[in-house]
Amino acid sequence: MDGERMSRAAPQRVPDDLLLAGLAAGDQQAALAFVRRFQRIVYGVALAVVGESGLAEDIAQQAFERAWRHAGLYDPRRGSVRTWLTRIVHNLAIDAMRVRRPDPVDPQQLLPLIAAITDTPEQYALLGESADELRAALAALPPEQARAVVMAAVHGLTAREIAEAERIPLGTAKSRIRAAMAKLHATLPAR
Amino acid sequence: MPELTCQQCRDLAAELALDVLTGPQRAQTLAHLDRCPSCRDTVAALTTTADRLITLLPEADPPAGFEQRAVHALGRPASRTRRWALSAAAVLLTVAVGAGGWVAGRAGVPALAPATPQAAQRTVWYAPLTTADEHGSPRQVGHAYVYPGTPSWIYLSLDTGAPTPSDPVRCELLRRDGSTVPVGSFPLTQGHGSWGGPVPIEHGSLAGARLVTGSGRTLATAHFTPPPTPSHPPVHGPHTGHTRYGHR
Repeated sequence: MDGERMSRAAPQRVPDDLLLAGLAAGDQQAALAFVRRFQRIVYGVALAVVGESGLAEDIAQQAFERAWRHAGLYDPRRGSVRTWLTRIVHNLAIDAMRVRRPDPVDPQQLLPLIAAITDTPEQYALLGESADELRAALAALPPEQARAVVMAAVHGLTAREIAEAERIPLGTAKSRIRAAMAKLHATLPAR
Repeated sequence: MPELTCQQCRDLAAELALDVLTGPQRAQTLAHLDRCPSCRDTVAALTTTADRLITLLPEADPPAGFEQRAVHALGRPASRTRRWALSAAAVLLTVAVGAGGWVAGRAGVPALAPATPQAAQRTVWYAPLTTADEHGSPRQVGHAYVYPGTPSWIYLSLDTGAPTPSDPVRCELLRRDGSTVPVGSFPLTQGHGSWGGPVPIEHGSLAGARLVTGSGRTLATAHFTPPPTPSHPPVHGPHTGHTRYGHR
C-alpha cells in the first residue's frame, strides 16, 4: 500500500464498516451514528416498495435490527455497507408486500418512481460516477424495458406478474427484463 | 428434472439475479450454477447490477422520532426466541467478516440503551498502522481506531500490499506501562484484512496496538495519542491523531 493510496483513504469521516463493527459490539453511540447515517436510504427504499409510511417505518426499523443481529455476515468484498443494508431492507419490503398480496402494480404509476431513480440530485453524488452511469442507462432504456426492470427489481414482480400487468405475452416480459438488465450491466466498470 | 444448457441458464440469469425466478425454473437454474462457473459469474455480475439498482432508489426523511425509536428497538428486552437469536448472533460475530474479521470475543450481544445525539459526538481515537520499510523508515499500511466508550472497542484494517504468512496475525494492545494484552487474531488475504473487538483494559491506559505474525515478527504498529479535552474540539484527519463520528 503506497502513501498516496493511504492518504486518499484518510478517515475524514468514520468509515461505514467501522460503524457497523461498533453496532455489532453493542456500542450505543455507534448504533446511533449508524442509524443516523443510513436512515434516509433505508426508509426511502422501504417507502418506494410498500408506498405506505407506517409500514415503511416498521420495515426500516426491522432492517436496522437485522443489520445489528447479522453484522457478522457482512462481507466488504461483496459490496459496501450501504449496498448490504439496502439489500436487507429491500428483501424485508418485498416479503411484506408478498404477504399482503397488494393490488397489481399499475405500470403507468411507475413513471414517477423511474423519474426519481434517474434523477441525479447532489446528495447522491457520494454514490459515485458509476451510479450516474447506471441512472443514465436506465433513463435511456425504452420505456417498456424500464418499466419491466423496475417492476422486477424494485417491486419484486415475476415475469408472469409483469406480463399480466402489461397485458403482454410472458415471453415478451422475459425478453424485456433480460434486455434491460444486459444494458444496465454494460454500464458497470469491469472488475 | 431436465438439465439446462448454458444458453437456457443465461436466458434466465437476469430473473434469478433479480430474485424473481420461481418454481422449477429457479431450481433448474440453481442446479446448473452448481456445476457451471461461467454461468455463476454471469449471475454474480447481474446480481451486482440488481443490487446497485436498489441503491438508486430515492432517499426519504423518515417520520419524526424514527432515529430514536430505531436505536431503542435494538435494546428491547429479548424474548425467548430473541435470546436464542442473540446467542446465534454472538456466534456469528466470531465468524470472520470479509477479508479479516470481526471477532466479538463476548458472551453475547449486549442490549443497547437509548442514545442521545450528543453521545454520538464522542471522539474516536485514530492512529495509522505503520511498518518499517527497507530503510527503516515508517510506512503506513493501515488504520487503527479506538472507540473509548462502554464497552470500548478497537478496529484495525491492514493492507500491506505484499504476500503475508497464511497463519493468522495476532493483535496485541500496548499499555502505557509497556505491557501487552493479546486480544485476538485474524487471517490476512494477500496482505489485506480487518478486525475489531472489545478493548479489555481501561482505555486510558491504552497506548497502542500491534499486529504480530505467527512467527513472532511485528507486522505493524499503531500508537494512539489521547484526544484533546472537550473544550478543544478535535481536528479531523489521520495526522492529528483522532477523528469523530461523522454524519451526512
